[in-house]
Amino acid sequence: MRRIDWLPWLLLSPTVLLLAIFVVYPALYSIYLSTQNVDPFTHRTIFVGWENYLELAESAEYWKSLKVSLLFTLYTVIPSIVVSLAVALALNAKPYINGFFRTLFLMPVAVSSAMAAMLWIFLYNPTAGFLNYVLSTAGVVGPNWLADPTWSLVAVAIATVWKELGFNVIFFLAGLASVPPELNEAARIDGANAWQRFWRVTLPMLSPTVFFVGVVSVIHSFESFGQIHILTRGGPAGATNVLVYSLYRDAFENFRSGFASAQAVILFAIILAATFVQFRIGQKRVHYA
Amino acid sequence: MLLLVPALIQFFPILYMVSLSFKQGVEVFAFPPTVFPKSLKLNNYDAALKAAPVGRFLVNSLIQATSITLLQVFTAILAAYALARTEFPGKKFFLVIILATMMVPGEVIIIPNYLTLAKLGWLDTYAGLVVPFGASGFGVFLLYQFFKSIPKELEEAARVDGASRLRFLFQIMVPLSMPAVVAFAVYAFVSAWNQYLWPLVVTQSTEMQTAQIGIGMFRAENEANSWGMIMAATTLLIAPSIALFLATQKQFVQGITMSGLKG
Repeated sequence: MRRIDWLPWLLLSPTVLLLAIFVVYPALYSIYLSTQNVDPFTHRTIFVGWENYLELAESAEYWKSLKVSLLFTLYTVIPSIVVSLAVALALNAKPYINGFFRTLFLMPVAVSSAMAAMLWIFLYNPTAGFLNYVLSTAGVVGPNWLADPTWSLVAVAIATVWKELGFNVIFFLAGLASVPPELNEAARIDGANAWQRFWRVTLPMLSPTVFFVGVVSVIHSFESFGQIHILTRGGPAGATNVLVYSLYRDAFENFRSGFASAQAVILFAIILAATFVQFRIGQKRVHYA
Repeated sequence: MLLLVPALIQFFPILYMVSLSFKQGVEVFAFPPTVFPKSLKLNNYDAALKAAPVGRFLVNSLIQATSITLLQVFTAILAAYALARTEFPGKKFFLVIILATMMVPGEVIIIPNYLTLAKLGWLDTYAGLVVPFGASGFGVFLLYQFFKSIPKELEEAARVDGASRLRFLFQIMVPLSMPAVVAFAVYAFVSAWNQYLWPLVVTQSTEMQTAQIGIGMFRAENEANSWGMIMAATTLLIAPSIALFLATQKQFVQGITMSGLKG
């Protein structure tokens, strides 16, 4: 009989225990809780089946929250991809001279969403803020960014793009570094101009990175919370009440754990779907599309 | 030079925060707004330090982020070694489960975790801030990849020379994997330091708040006219992140690039 080797179990147990208690169990328990009504004081639960989900399906507020989340994704993902790709291309063109600029662009990545919000909050001040001052020099009367339901989501999105930009630049720079310079060189010799080389050589070679950055940005946008909590608290009139914020409010302000858990399950499903899309298509590598 | 203007725009919010932190009284609301302050008086900083436990916030964040980082690095080294270099029944199963935990967003599990901590009596404690993040599927995955690339012959030779497996792990394997370990540590530290939702939910007293939570509360309490003071507090609380970034930019970028692997 062979002796059991205990070492692997010993080494594995801290990770397995911690992940089991604080990630796997809560993920499964959320699903269970979503079928319960939880009493906020006694924590007693009553099985209610689909009721929480039905309530969500009938809640105009929740549908609005979903719409706000999708708009927030639209407002953050596309601008941040376009701008970060442009910045990465410019940085990549002269890597040595641009070290200083690179540092300036990447710095906000180290800044938390809460601090990023703090930096922007006064820039958005309707009368003394720098943003509206700049607009006024162009003859435009700027809105009351954070208090105006039409503009508040845009304002939160701008601060978010500012913070996430460097994150995407890092991936695009890594992607650009793996594009063989001979390809561009060959295209140049064949008479392709810079514009043609970008669309026909660089971008197709970079397409897996663009795709990856896109999906990661979508996931990030669905997870955004700190900047919203500081800038707008979901308001005004629910204009920035994204799915995570709605979940937080129902769980920790309205004390409806079951109802909030149903929202958590739906949010999880959305993020998981994005992850799988990335897995399936990402594996195929979009390259020469 | 094409990048000069965009880079300045990108840097402007940080510059303007510092500028505001020196502006006195009505200077903050002057129109047109000025980029640079009239003087460099530190009284906003004095006021901020008197009005808010800025030092306490920083210490809390430091304890929270350092503990999470050390725990994650340590647990990941152990688990990665077990998965990469030992044989035991169910290895594949554990590997898959650990990898799968990377797909669970923290936001969707806060309710059960809050209930767990309430049962343990860990709300508003350092344990509550730290222990739920003691292990990282990403860290295990990253080091697992790295450990597998280290030649097996090296371990066999060390074993022949009488070194135990743990000794080999900590004296040879970990030092050889330092670039990955450091990049992961920087990544873990920054992620922990920047956490918002969990510390918001778990901390209740001002004494336990981290920098991120403290600044939001401080601003909510002092709105309206003390923007110079609020920005002074923000400058103090943001400074460690920026300093860390400038000091570890290379590892920082590596950590983020490697996080791309988990997609």
